[in-house]
Amino acid sequence: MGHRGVVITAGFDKSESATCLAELFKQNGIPVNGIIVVSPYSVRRIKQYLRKKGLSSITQSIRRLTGFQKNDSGRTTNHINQFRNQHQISIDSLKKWANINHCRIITVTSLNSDQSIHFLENTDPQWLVYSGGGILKQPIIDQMDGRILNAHQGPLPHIRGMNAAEWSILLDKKQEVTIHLIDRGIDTGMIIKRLPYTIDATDNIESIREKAIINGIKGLIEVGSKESLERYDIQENHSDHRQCYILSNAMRELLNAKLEYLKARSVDV
Amino acid sequence: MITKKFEKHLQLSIDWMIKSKHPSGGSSAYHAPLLGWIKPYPETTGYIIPTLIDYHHYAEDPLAFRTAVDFGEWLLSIQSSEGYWLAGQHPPKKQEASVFNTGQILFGLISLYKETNDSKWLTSLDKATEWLCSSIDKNGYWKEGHYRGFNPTYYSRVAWPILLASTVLNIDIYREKAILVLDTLIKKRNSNGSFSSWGFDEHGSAFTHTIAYTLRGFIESSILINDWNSYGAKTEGALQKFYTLSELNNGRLAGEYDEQFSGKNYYSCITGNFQIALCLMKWYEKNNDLRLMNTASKLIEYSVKCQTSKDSILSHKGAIPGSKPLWGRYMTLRYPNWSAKFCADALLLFLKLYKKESGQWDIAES
Repeated sequence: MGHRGVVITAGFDKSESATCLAELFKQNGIPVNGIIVVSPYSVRRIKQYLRKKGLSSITQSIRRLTGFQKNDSGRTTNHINQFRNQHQISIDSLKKWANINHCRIITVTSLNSDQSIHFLENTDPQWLVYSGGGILKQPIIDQMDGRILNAHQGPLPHIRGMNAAEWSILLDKKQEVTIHLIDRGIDTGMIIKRLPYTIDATDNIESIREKAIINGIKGLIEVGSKESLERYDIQENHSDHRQCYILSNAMRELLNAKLEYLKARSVDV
Repeated sequence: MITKKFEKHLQLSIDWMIKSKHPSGGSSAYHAPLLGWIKPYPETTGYIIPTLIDYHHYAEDPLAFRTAVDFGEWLLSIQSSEGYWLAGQHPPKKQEASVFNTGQILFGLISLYKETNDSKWLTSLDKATEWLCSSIDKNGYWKEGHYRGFNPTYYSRVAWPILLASTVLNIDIYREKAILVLDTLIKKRNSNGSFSSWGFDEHGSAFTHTIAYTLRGFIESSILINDWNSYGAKTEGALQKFYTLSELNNGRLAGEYDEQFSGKNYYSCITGNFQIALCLMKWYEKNNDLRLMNTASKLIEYSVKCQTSKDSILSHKGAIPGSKPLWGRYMTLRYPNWSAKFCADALLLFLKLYKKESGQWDIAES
C-alpha cells in the first residue's frame, strides 16, 4: 500500500509555511489531497485573538494575513524568502496553489467543524499536516486516528506552548524544532524528530523565528513523506513542564537584551 | 522601555497615597466621585507604611518617608490600651476590636522600627502582637474580632506579620502562635488547590483580593520560617491555576472565583490583579521560572491602564479603582487606598526583579 497523500491545515490563505509545505510535498512526489484553511475573519476567532493578544497586535496581524509581513528590520536576511527562492516557490496564496494544482481546498470557521471532519473522511490522507488554524479537538484527532503531524518551535517536553523559539532563549534551552504527533494536550504528543538550529551574530527575534519555521517545514516534509514512523526513534512526551504563553512586552524587552548580550559575547545559543 | 513606563505609574500611585492623607491623620480609605475623600482607615494606613518606605529607598523621596512616619504616629494615637485597633474606618461606628486590622498595622510598625530604630514603634508592636496572640485559642482560631463572624483563611495574612513581629521582638511564643494559626488554616486547602473560606463570606465565591491575601500569607510565612513545604508548596496549585487564567485572558483575571475556580467575568478586581501578580513574583523568586514574571507583567500592564492619568471631578491623578469597570462588584465606584498600595508594591517588586534579571544581559555593565 503506497502513501495516501497529505492534507495541510492553515490559519489563513497567505500562510507562507503552508504554501511551502504544499509545494514541497508536490516536489517530493507526495500527493496533497487537500487543504483546510481556517477563516481568520470569523467573529469567534477575532474575539479569541483580541482576548489573547490584545488590541495593539491587530495591525501586525492584518499585515500578516494580507501577506505584507516581512522581516523589515533591514538588518538581517529574510530566511523564508531565501528558502522559497532556493526551492523555486513563488506562489503566495493557498487558493491559487490549489487552483493551479487541481487540489481540493475548503475554508472553514474552525478546524474542529463537521465540515473539516467530512473533508478528511473524503480525502482520507496518510497524514494531516498541521500548519496553523487553532487548537485541534478530540473529534478531528479521532478522525485521523492520531496521524497528525506538527512542527513545534521549541524543544519538547521542556518548552510547550506559544512563542517557543523565544522562550527557549529566555529559559536557556536548546534552539530546536520538534516534530511530534498531535494529541489531546498542548504539545504533548509523541516526539518523532528533533531539528536543532543555531543563532548567529546577524540574527534577531524575527530571523530566529524564520529559521525555526524553515526547520519545521523541512521536518514535516521529511516525516510526512513517509508512510509510517517505523524508522524513527519515537520518544514519550508529557505535560509536566509549565505551558508557555505569548511574551509580555517586558519579557520581549528582556529577550532582546539577552539576545544582544549572547551575540556580543559570541556565546553559543 | 517598560521600566520607565512602570516607574511613572509607581510615582503616580505614591503621590496619590500621599495625597490620601486625611486632615485628622491616617490615609483616607478611598476616594469616590461625589463623596470625595472619606475617613481614614487604620488597617490600610498600617500596610501602606512599608510601601512608602520601600519607595523612599527606591527613589529617595523624603515626602514619602515623612508621610509614612505621620501615618505611624496617627496609628499610635488611636491604639487601644489593650493593644488592638478597632474595626473599620476611624472613628468607627462600633467599638469592636479587629484581628485583621490589628495584624495589618503590624507591618507598618515593623517597617518604622526597622527604619528609625525608635523604641516607640517596638512598644506598640509588642502590645499589639501580645493582644493578637493572647486571643488565639488552642485550635488556632480567634474567638472574636472578625469581620463577618468567622475565621477566614486569609488570616494567613495575620499569621505572617505575627511571624515578622516574633523575629523583630525575638519572642518565640509569638512564632509558635502564628504556626498554630497557619497549621489550622492550611487544612482548608481543597484537593484542586483552592481554599475554603478565603473570602469575606464563609461560603461561596471570593474576590481575588482576599484570595491573594490568603496565598500571600502562606507564601511569606513559609519564606520566613524557611520551610516551603508546609505552606508555600500548598499554594502552588492555586498559583498555577491563576497563572493559566491570567495568561489565557492576557493579564485580566475575573473579579471573583468560587472554589472550583469558576470566575465572575463581567468585572476584574484590579487590586486583586496586582496582589496575584505579587504572589506569582514571590513564586518566581523561589523557582526562577521567568514564565511567572511574564504573567505578573501582563497582570500589571492590564491593571495600570486603569490608573487615572489626570485630575478630574471624578478622581485624582494616580487613583486606581477597585474594579474594572468602575461599577464592578468590588469597591464599586471607588478608588481605595489599598489599590494604589498593591499597585505600588507590585511595581516595586517587578522593577527590582526585572532589573536584576536584565542586569545579567546588560552589555554595558558586564
